[in-house]
Amino acid sequence: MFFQMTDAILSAKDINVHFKSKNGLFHAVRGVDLEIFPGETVAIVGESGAGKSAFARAIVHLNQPPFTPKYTYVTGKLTLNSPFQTDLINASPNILRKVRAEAIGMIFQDGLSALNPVLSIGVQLLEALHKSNRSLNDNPKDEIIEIINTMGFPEPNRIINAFPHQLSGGQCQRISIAIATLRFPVAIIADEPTTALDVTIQAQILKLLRDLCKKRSMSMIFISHDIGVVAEIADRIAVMKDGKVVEVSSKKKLFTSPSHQFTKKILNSRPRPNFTLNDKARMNVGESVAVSLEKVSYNYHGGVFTNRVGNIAVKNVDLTVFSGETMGIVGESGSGKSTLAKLLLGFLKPSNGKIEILGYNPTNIQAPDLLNFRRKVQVVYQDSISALNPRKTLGNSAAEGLEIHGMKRDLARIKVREIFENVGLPETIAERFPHQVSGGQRQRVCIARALALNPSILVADEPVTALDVTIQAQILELFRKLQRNFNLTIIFISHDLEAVANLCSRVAVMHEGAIIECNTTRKIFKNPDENFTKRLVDSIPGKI
Amino acid sequence: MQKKEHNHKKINILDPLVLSSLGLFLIIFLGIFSPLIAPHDPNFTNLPLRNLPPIWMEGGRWDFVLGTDNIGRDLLSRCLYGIRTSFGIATFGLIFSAILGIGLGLCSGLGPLWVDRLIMTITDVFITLPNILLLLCGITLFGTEIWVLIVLIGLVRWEAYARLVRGQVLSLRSMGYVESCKALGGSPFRIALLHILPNLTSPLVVILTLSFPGVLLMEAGLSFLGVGVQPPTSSLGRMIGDGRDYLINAWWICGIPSIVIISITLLFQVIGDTLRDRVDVFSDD
Repeated sequence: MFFQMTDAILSAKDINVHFKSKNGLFHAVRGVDLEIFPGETVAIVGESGAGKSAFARAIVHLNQPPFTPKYTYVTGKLTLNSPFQTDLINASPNILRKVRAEAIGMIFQDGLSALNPVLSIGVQLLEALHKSNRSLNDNPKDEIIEIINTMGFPEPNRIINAFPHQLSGGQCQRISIAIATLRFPVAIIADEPTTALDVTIQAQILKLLRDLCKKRSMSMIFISHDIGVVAEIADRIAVMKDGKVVEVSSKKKLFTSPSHQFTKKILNSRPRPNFTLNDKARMNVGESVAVSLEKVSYNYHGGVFTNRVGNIAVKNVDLTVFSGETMGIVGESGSGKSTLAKLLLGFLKPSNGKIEILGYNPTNIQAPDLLNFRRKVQVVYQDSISALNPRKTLGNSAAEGLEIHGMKRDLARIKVREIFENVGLPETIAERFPHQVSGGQRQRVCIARALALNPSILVADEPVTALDVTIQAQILELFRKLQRNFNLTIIFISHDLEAVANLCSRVAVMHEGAIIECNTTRKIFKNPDENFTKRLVDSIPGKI
Repeated sequence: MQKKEHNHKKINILDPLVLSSLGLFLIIFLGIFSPLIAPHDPNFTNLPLRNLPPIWMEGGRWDFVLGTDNIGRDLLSRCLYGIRTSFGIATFGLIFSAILGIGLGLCSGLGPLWVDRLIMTITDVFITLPNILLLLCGITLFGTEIWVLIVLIGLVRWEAYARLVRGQVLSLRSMGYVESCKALGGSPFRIALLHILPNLTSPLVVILTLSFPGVLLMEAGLSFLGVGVQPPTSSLGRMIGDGRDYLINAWWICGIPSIVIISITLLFQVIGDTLRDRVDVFSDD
């Protein structure tokens, strides 16, 4: 698709964005040129900190006070050509309000926090409607119902009276989209609108956005870190790195013949299913059972005055993991994956059922056995910044397990150096603090800390979710290597189906607390038995 | 905040934090070395020279720079000794209450549910009791020794720290590094001392600095009422109480100790506020 025939509705030339911080100016966006044509969707992809959001927010001056306390300087030439002509860089606050109200809508990542929690959805839509210049017809309620209908809600009347917290994340995001688009803007800026959503919901939201843009021939600037999502929605793609646009081309061209090195790198880093490798790995798995769960359930208790049984987080789960195996556990948010991890670690006691891990029962384990159990079962978390004590050096954090298990401090430090080498970290990093290293390095330190005790089982709870895609690939490779070298049993919990397909030899699919299907990775991804699994696999964005 | 520890910047003398810390150190120094600095015995009465005004007023004398009180005691010497008494009681009272509050807060946040409920109920009870009532009861029962005052001040102030620490512990204990330590086999004791407490330092330093003036004023209030430090020992509150009746014709008897209390309080407030602004992550950018 080529839109160059007509005039761009928005054109940016040599845009630079500087943030003022304590250590001087931070140059977030460095000379970006980009034109948006009517009706096209331009995606901006890049890793965290590439300046994607800074650029998009600069268009409508959202990174200016009062929206953020940070002082920002935007230079360059930024012109809006439709529906009215204006210079956005030097626009007065009144013009800017007009631009935001009529020309450019915004959608953010978190749909729930974008809505006012004390007003009902209907009231919020009505408010947005009044602000617009559209002539109201006699009955605004009808119009709102129509808008809600367009957003694909089955029961608009119920939604009108609902409050944001009564809706799911996906529904809130639909309402935000409704609010952003009900003034018929010429363009919307969507800043990671599906990142916080489950894959199946993500697919629905992407479809909604695509249909809206098509129907109203609206342009969209779609910001995402996920090249797969971008492949689903974009007409043109701009790849950003370190504040610069390194490549802009049509979707087809970008995916078939990327010109820039970095584009090639992110395309190649996408985790791909590794069925043959995983099948081969399964051949080496022994017969001995490492983890066995029998009819395990867990209920959260709640209530202010009563101790009533709350949500059932895990329901009748049967699971067997053999030693040396990489078992994937996938499911959407709230499906009980993390509760299952806590049960495996013995942090929670199951309400019903029996857990046996390497011959231990983590539920009622006593002092000397407890330390042995801890030595054998280790954990890696999603968020590496909160998983490391900010006041301890990385070396000390990694050595902690060894010290707890009675190793002398200097010996422990020597051992840590060895493990750092195993996980691909330079020795010098041991003296640094968590905030001084990158996310990928931090996650390696967390893995090093877990491996220090020579565990047999590693529970990894969304270990690659918070990482950029290029780093993700490295960490997945690291898991594979460690599994081979140390004969680890890995329980890999993730909502990211691609990562699971890349690493695991068997997969268990969780839905509403129960394991609905457990089979080899190939079977789950190629030929699933359950409808839910099929839906989940079909929602993986951008299967190229 | 962490960043600041690692790049050594030159200390700016005009920084409010530096200035007020210097002022505070001066006052602490004066208090500690008051026996060496004070020109007179603070309890020596000199009736012919009573109600002598400070040096800058008519009739002031160089050997009694800040004047004398109603029974002819040197106000400068009494102030220096008063700083020593009041500051000491407040410091030790604060330390005692901090230890009590932090300890109970940690137990409450990390212990089993029944411990948490028990400690929080006690905290609630202490919050509802009027401080002054508690202090007066304690003084009636145990007398007005200095250590009794310290313990009593500690006992009425701890609940704020206990609540703060408990709240912080509740949010910190779900952090990955606490769970990881648990997964490595770390004992609750280790978790509390190595992982939770160091990460509580910044809010604690701020709240302790900000609550010091309150403790100081509490001691001053008690002494003013005559139930705190007993004569002839001088304390700032006691001195204000003594000068109460002479406000019209010799204002300096209570004016001068008041100025000392106000300056100490102000210095602490400035330090606390500045610390809070610099330590707080949210006002960072």
